[in-house]
Amino acid sequence: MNLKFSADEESFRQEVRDFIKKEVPSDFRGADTDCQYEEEARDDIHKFAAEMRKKLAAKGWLGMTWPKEYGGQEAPFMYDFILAEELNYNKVPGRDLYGCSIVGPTILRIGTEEDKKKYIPEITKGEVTWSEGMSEPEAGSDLMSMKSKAELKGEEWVINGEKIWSSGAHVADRYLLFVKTNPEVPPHKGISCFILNIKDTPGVTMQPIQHMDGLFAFNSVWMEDVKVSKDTLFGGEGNGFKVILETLNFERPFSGSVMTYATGVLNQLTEYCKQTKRNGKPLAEDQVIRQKLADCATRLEVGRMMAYNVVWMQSQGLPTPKESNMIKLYGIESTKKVYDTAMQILGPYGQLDEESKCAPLRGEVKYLYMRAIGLMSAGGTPEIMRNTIAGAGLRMPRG
Amino acid sequence: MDFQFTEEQDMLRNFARSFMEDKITKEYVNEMEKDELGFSEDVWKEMAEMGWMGLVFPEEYSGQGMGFFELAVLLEEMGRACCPGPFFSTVLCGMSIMDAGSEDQKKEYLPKIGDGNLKMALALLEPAGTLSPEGIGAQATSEGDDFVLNGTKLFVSDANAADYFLVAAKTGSGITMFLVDAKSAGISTTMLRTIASDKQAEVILDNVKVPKTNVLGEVDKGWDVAQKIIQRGAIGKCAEIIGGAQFVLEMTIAYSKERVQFGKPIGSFQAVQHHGANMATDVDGSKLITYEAAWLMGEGKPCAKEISMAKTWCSDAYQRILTTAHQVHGAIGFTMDHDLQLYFRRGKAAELAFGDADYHRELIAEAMVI
Repeated sequence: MNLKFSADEESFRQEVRDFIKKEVPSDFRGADTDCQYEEEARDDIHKFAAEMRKKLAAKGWLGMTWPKEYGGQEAPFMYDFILAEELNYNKVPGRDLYGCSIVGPTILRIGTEEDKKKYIPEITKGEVTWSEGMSEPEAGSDLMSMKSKAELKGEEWVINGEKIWSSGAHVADRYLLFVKTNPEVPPHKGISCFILNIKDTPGVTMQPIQHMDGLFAFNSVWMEDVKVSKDTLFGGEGNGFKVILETLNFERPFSGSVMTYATGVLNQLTEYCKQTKRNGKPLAEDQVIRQKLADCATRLEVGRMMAYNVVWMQSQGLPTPKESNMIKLYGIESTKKVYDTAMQILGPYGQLDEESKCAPLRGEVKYLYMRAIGLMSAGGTPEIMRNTIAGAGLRMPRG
Repeated sequence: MDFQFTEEQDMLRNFARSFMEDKITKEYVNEMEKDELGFSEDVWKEMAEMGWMGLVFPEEYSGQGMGFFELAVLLEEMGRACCPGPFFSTVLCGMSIMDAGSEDQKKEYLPKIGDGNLKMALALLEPAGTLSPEGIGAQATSEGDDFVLNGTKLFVSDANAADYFLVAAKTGSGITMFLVDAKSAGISTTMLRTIASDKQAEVILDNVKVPKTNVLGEVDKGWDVAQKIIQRGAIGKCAEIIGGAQFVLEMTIAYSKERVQFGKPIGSFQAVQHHGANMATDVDGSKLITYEAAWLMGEGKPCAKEISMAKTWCSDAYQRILTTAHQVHGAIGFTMDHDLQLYFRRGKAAELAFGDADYHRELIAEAMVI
């Protein structure tokens, strides 16, 4: 066991910090790199994120673990995680989570040579962002019951159906879409995956959905006789379930970096508690507040170790059926705990947003408190995570 | 960053696991709870022959020269087996001699501990029950070549087996640590009856003469020594906890597969599956934060905050793990015949030892708001 970062890893972390210091204006408000809702919903953040994406690409940091022939750096897996940690901690948008952490690795694992040449370099150059089409109005946790379908007619696939909760689809360039191509066989054999250029595919319409925090980052996406060529089929006909498992396997460990965002918030909260007096003494001297802060810090430290462990296991090629679901479950629940605690500690001030007078922590806690509710469901509910940990991880009997 | 155990650590674990499975059976554990001494001298001797007592001592003092992380691995296996006896008390005191003792003291005590011929107990806590210098009321007064100790020590683990006590007492302007021969005149020991049926005692010191050569470290500077003991003790308890927690998880998952109700194994019910997932997540988190703290300690890096985080987390998480395990086992787990009760009772004792979750949360907060 050696829990130290190597000198090279440490100097890379420092390089990222220096980059952030140089490239991010000191008055930048920060954005929700943990889920990108703000980036997707707010024009100013979206614009800034696109600029940062280009700068990150110029450093060679997007898809930095990928093969050089597709624009990667072949850096060890931990480097990508360190980058994500620093961007999250400092609330710097630009690294597209879907492209860099979910879809890219999936394409490299199971895509054809053509897929790799077509889709990977544009991610590493920071030219595109991705979105996913998985859930449907009647197929949430029970994803396999999806009804959207594609039929092969001549040389084209014709897609019809409806997707929901497609995060950032309204601003994305590429869309990883899952539909049934054979309703006659069991779902794990009858679902296929397509990659759409979602900005310019006739027949695709969408409607952003407003979240309870006021932002519009989710979308309903409708497909009506959408005709796409055969080469948009990804992973092979009937292999959609396999693609889903791959994407989720990659998506979940990066929930670990969500906790890094929460760590940044906790440190701001701790500073607030040191500066703010109630009943004549700083909040940080109140025993109850201290216990709460310590509890949050402990949770996040445990989570940091769990995240490093998954990253290490994946870098060793070890299977992580238990660990990657655990980190998603633990990461989101702990993040929620931190934001709930922040709300409690701020008291009436917690409800104020950034437009309000005297809002602490630039009024972010109000959003975080609500966002955590959304994060609990995104990418798999805690209940589904627990089912998977029990089934695939602990091999408990099937129900 | 590398989460792989070294070959040496794996060997130690495997060896300890098979020794425990062979010698530290549940029959033995149950029997020793009722036994006056609380462990078998024969088993103790075998453990000494394997070099475990001297595991972390330098080779020049007949030790094995291994690090603190390796000790944590061994303690994890002892926790898994509920291994009784004064191993941890002895090694913990021995480590204080290792880092605060004079050359003469090291030569005198460490090889004897390593050989299994000297057992020690830590006499730190008092009726105040607090882990702070203010909680120490015992007095040591200088008289010629001796100090004379008076006071009451409480929750002294393994006092009944100890040849020597490591005693914290007030001197002039601070706390001083003393190596006290358990056979000294004026010492009386009363065993306490505890939740874990372990061997804790009240030790009364009534004009106990201790030669000045038996001061460990510097006079008045003993709290530094005590603090390091508390830190090592906390990590040691975490290691025992994660060993126990892993076993409890395995036991619970196995039971959920065997136990049939409504025509199905109860482990197929989602409610029970979620219990399993929660336990496993707590077990993994507890292990990783413990390994982090133990590794930092072993490397001699600053780790006060991480130790407190580990003890806070493991203390709370083990309670969740244990109560969930009981929930899955139902009434059978509540019986004295079932092994689960051994872990439940020890879990609480481990939580209380070397600072509970609240105590360590306060230390974490201190580190955070500086």
